[in-house]
Amino acid sequence: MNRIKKTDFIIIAVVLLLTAIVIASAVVGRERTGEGAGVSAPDKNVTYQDYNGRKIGILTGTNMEAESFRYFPDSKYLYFDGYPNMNAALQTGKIDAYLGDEPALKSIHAEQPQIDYIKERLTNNQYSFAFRKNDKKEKKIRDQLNEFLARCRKDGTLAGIDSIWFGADDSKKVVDMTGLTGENGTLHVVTTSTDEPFSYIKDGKHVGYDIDVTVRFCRAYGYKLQIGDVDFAARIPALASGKYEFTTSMNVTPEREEAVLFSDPVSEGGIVVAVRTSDIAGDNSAAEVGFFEGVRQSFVKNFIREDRYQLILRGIGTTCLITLLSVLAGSVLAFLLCLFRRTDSVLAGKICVLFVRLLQGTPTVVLLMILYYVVFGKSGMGAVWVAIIGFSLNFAAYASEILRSGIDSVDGGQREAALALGFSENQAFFRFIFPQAVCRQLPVYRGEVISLLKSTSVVGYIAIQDLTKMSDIIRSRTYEAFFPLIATAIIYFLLAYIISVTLNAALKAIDPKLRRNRKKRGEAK
Amino acid sequence: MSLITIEHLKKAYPGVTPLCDVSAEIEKGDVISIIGPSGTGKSTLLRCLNLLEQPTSGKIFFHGVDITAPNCSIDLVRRKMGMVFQSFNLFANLTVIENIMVAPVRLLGMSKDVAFREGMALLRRVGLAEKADSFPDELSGGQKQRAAIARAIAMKPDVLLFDEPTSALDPTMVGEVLQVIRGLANEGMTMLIVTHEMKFARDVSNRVFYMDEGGIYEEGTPQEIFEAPRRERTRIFIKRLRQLPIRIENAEFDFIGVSSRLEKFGRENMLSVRMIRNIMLIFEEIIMQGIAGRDGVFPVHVMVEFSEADESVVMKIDYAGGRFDPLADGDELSSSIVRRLSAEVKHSYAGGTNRLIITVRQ
Repeated sequence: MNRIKKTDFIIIAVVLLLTAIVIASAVVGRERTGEGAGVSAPDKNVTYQDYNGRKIGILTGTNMEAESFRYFPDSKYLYFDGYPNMNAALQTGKIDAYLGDEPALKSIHAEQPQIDYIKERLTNNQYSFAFRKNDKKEKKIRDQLNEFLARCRKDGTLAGIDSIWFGADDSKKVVDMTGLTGENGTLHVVTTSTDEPFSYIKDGKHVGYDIDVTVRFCRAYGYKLQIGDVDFAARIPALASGKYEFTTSMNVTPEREEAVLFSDPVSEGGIVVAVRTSDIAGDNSAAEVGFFEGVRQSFVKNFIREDRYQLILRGIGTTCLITLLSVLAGSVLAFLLCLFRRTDSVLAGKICVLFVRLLQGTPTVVLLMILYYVVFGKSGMGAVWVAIIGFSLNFAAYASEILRSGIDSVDGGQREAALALGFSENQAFFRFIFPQAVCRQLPVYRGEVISLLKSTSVVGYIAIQDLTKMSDIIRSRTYEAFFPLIATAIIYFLLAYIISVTLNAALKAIDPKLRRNRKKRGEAK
Repeated sequence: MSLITIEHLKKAYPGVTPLCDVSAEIEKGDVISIIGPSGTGKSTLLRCLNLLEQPTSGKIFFHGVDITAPNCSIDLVRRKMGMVFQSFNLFANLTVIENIMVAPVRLLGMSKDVAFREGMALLRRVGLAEKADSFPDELSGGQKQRAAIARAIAMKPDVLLFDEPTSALDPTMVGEVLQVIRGLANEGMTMLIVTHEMKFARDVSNRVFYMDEGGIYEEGTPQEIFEAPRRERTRIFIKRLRQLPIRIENAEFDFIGVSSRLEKFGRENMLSVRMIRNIMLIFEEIIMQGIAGRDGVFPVHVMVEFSEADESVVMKIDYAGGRFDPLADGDELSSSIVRRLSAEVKHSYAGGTNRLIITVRQ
């Protein structure tokens, strides 16, 4: 009993420590954020040339890379997979500037006034939807979209959409999802939901300029709509896999035109340089907010507003579903692998070894992407199921090795004793050897399950909105890195703790010694 | 009909053939000790009997049924053949009483209540009733082995196979295990026991197999095997003999060389300095003063034997050349020296060969 209490104390201490870190970081975040500060118009005369030679952030998978090389040839570059991380890096001084689309930066500045941008556009850009090349069906849809865009431009619909999503009135920013009849089939669209105002998550739904245009197009042409969500860099591979017909707004560049088929421009904008407001504004004094009030505001903003906690809950659900089913299926598969390796067949053994080595030698992310984009590319299988298959395979490879070393560690005399008493080989294995192997290896197995839980955080790569992805989505709206990240860490920690406690209970249930001691205590009472 | 009949059993591994051709009959109630030097297939023979080792060829009949036949259900046969291992092999995940109950309950369909009662009775018999709820790793070696014996007899087998049951035990624990086996023998249990405990084998068994040269080299009652082994290798093994053969071709042999061989043999077997001196003196007096001067005695064969069992040294000297007893017919001084140094001297003459057997005084 004493031991259990001691562990509980340690857990409570760790949770308190983490909470303290969260609060402290939230405060730090707030001090840097300075929400509510009335930032006046820039009064320092800063141009993009001033940033050449300083650290520049680049959004991976966009044409900002080439532009950055052009405008900041003497700089050091750091690569990021989305605006939220880049904003955090800009705030904390890891980078001094980055290139971004003007509409996106407008939204960012509205939410987070201490990030601003130099108003001078570096280039004027057109944003188009991209389709898979050399495909008749997709070319037809592209032509329909062009027709639709031309009509909307003429009758002013497009201007109307523009005013909604680039305007200030947040209440208008809703996408009407009704009326998608789908008599001409379903369109699969891949987008990046951390790209406000083009595509983002609000009230738990996909919204944004691009989404609005897409939905209206689908309604007009009798399509149903399914939306996939990946990082910028994964969009073109996702398109190439055939899982999606098109992707939302991309900068049109000659290089990309070789790979994809662009529609007519859906929107226009330009590349601007995002910088810290303090670098370009004369005065950036933040309004003083009380400590607890600051924490409360941060908490409300990240979790309460737009019911964002529901995103977290959904993310936890997805993460748990993938972990749980993968552990179950993976354990069954591991057991079968072990049985195969126990047979006399040399071939079966070699195949099993090959399977294990192959999976152990492949990074999980790469395995997931191969499964999602290549193996099940055209099957239309849901991403969550692909993830479960991927993690099951991966888990099976490790768990079968754990199980095998457990079985090997059981003394051969146990088998002989069972046989000599008249048990068959199978009875000897299942009744005496396997239980001992499981007992010995359960602690290692528990570690592997927790490791699986944590490694599911990469499923964002194949368009799954798990816990990590949900916190990214929240960050992309609130532009606060600290609260969502620390909260996510704590949630993972608690999930891992629950797994640990559950498996420890299982160990107590099956370990003969602990079982006997419990019985003895019961008798003593 | 014998309980077990072994016919021309052969077991070969790649590169080594421990059993070449073994045939034997084992009757109900036999207690057979299987002895012999290591590596002579004692354990292999035992493990072939319940097919833990698959024989290369030959047949084994149990109750008249050929258990080496492919259609024989070996699991059923093994229920009637208990086995006790050198390394105990108690099931580590079960308590002592569970170890004893598991096979009767799972294989014979015995109810748990009955199995528990019978199991506890067995544990009382082997003196382990208070350890019923302990796990194997909480027992001493002797206790483990007694529990393992209880486990084997819980199946009410027709025969028990003991594979070196005391070899892994601390010397202080050997007695308690042998006591249990002795008790079983008194109750008439048929048993085959591979063992290095010679005194025990002699006391408890009615038959002894001495195994060597790929089979049962000599078989007999304990009296026959231990007191009057008929064959040479058996004798060497039983008496735990160390031998030094010396062949002398003529009178001009290398006396100094032979002396140093005698001395080396004595030191290797840790004989006392006095004993070594006695051996060398007897050799000198008998050969140099007694035999070597006579005609037609060569070649002379001398065999020095040290028995570890009774720590005695015997010198056997064979020579030709007509009846001649150096102690009776030879030089008086030499004779008196040899008599003083030896406990017993025997001379015999048969077929033209003199044989002198001298037991050296300790």
